[in-house]
Amino acid sequence: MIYNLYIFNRKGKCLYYREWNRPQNTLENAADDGEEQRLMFGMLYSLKEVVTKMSTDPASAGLHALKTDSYTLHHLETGSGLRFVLNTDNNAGDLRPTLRQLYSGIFVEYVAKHPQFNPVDGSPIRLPAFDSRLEEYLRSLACFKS
Amino acid sequence: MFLQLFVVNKSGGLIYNQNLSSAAPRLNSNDWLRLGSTFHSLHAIAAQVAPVPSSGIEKLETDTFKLQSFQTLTGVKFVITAEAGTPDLGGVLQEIYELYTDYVLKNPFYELEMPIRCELFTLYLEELIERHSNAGGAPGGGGGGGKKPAGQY
Repeated sequence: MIYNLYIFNRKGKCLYYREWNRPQNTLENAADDGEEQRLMFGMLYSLKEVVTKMSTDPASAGLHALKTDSYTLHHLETGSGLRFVLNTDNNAGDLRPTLRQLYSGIFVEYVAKHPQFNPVDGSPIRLPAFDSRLEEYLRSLACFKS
Repeated sequence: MFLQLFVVNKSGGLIYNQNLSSAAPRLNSNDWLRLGSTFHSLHAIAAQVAPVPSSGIEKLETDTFKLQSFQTLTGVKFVITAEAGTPDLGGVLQEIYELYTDYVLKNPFYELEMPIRCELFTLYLEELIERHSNAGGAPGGGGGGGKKPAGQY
């Protein structure tokens, strides 16, 4: 089952957030509604530092996935510093190829190539074509509902 | 192949760290301490940003290594890393926990939450790691407990 998706730019601004199933949100009532996204980015940022420290090859220290007892966080960082984060349950398997497709097949086509998209200012993505293509793609996956 | 092991107490302090392979990156003691407490915080944050109720990080997969952690009921975290592609490390962690209860907790000179300096623990840990490495890097398989002399610390 797919829970939610975050897209961050390299400065940590949340460009896109979408949730499909989310039974728990500990920061739902936070005073500031970006709180949860910032905490998520903070975690990824520190994780990257830990992973770089512990890696046998500091030049390649990409995080693929983080598993807990109840959910799995799939992570892809692109060369330009964009981060795609997809949370699923623990039965979804390896979603690296899915995240790659999401980036190169959907994000690049519908967002990066859009004339209104500004890669610098970090404003949230509001493009209906991207929304619907993303929705269609994720719903076509075997792990979406099961 | 195993790379590194560290143990963090319930308040996030590093109480044990050990490189298990020459391929593991060499860290100085400040790096180790920072790593231990950062992991402790990340464990807590992972439970906070969770979309479903969760108790924190169990595994990490990266380009070059995988990490697995085991938290005891008393809040002590055992964290081990191994090369990418190594099978599940849960069995090894469980055995390390057993060594901890036998040779650390039962040691009358050991104070809870303090750094682990117990000769026998280190000794049997080395033996355990060697045994699993010789078994073709397939942790958790057979073997069972090694020879543990009773009544010695």
